[in-house]
Amino acid sequence: MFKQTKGPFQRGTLAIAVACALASGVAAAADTDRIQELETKLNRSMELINKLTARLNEIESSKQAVPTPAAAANAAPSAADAATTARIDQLEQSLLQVSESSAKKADLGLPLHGFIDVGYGRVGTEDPQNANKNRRSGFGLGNVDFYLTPQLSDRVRALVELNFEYNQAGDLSSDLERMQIAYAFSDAATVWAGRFHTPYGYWNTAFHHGAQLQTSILRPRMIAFEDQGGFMQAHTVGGLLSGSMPLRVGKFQYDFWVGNGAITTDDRTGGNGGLDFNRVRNTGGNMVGANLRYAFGGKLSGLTLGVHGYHDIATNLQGSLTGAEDSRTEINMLGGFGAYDADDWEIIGEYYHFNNKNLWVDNTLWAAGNPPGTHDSWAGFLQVGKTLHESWTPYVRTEKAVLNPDDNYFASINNYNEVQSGRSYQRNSIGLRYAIDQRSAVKLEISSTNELRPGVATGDYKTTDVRLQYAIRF
Amino acid sequence: MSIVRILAASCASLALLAGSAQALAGDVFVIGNAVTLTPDDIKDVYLGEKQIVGGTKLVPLDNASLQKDFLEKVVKLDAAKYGSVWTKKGFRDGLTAPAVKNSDAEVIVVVKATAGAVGYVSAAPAGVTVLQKF
Repeated sequence: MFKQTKGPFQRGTLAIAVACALASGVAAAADTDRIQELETKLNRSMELINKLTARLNEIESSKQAVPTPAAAANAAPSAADAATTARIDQLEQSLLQVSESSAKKADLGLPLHGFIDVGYGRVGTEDPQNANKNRRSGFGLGNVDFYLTPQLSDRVRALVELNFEYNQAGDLSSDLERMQIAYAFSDAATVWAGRFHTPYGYWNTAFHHGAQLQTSILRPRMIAFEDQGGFMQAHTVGGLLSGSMPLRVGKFQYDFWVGNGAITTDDRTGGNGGLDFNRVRNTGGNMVGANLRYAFGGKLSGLTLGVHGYHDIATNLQGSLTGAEDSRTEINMLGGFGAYDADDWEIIGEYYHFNNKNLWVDNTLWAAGNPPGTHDSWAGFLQVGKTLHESWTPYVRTEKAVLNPDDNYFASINNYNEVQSGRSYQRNSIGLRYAIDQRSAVKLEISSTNELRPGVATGDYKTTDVRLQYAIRF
Repeated sequence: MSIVRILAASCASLALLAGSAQALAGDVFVIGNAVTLTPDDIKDVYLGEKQIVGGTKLVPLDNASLQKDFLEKVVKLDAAKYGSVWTKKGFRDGLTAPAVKNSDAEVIVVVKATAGAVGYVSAAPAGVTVLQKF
């Protein structure tokens, strides 16, 4: 027996229901039967779930109720209990098998990941005949980059990356970007061997050929790839020790590496002025380096600050990679970097200071030039971006390199293709990245470059370029 | 008669919505096999920052039915950012993102059977170590 009174709650409920009903309108009336049917199904499902839950609890309880030795001695386990336990084990085993089987069906082998980018550009260039500035525009293919990350066992994993791209001459080139195998002793120590991304700064290892990952279209020119005018080895063939150690707040992370030193094909003696990372050890040079950084925790989570440096003996060769040595340079780089990636902000800054020493010069080639001695140079960039409304990221970047032309190393790579990587320059860029979804982005970038060319009759080289890029990852 | 049925259906819908909201706001239980982890450790595990504990290789599992709640409460990221973090981890360090299971039952069974496995479920199960409750 209950009273048919309408209290505030009932009246409120009725009011809400009426409001909902009115909002639903006539269309709701047509769906009523369907809703009822769904309700019935839902109720049946709930009943089934409740029954199964009750049964499971009952089974788990009986399984947990392990008799004490004394009790066991007094009362032998019944055949029913044994049967129940066996059924539970069988059930769990079946579920595990179903789960594994399901996983195997979904796992059709080693996942292949990668990046693709295409674009359009209107960029300045130089006419090799008269060194006048020209401009060209058109569509271009970027990179097709594949990578695999096989986990071979608990401690052993590998990373293989293969890149295809068209070079300046229009030829398709393939590059085994990375081929490295690791053994993880602990979180604090993982040893890698093979070819890896040289871990200076933040950018080179975080983005590399992952165009879709990086906010801008161009990398800072000072850390361009070896075959695109970079003056530092973007890759190293050797060994790498990496690790991370938690501190009270945040983490200390490090990379130590040793590898083959850089070689250049000296453009002063017939080479193309290119930098090579010395994939097959054929020179006397060695490179050692370190990257030490602190990843903040707590309120500063997302901020990483670090120092980096390396020592290298670079060998400059005459004409080609098999040419005779014409000079040798000791490279000493020391710098710092910082990155902040949180709260929709992305701020990256890197600084490199060089104190290089001309070790040896073939005097038959340069009787008076490139005297021995040390030469200071520096390079740095700062990029700031902010994501708005989850998809739009405007960004700006400024970069500058002041490279000493008396430094044998920079002098030997000052005329590679269209990027005179050994020359001082300044570049400012502004751009906008639009994330279409999690895996694809469109970017527009305008950059203004001023390259210093001391001793060149036509003077400094200036260009303002516009680029558009469509980049995806898979 | 028809209006009564509409009202009933509307009320039922409201009740279902309320029930769903309550389910979304439920607890998240992190379970593990042969490991001990603090809340910060758990976040690190699911961000690829912690892979080995006491000599045991960790095997983190995602639970599709509870991932949104877990990411919000424990990892403090949305699904998009979480995916982006793992893409970068895979590309930079060669790590593999946690395997995704569809339900509590699947997670529990794999955790029970795998040393070092870590997963999260919506109710504290019997026979499995609950590492943390969020």
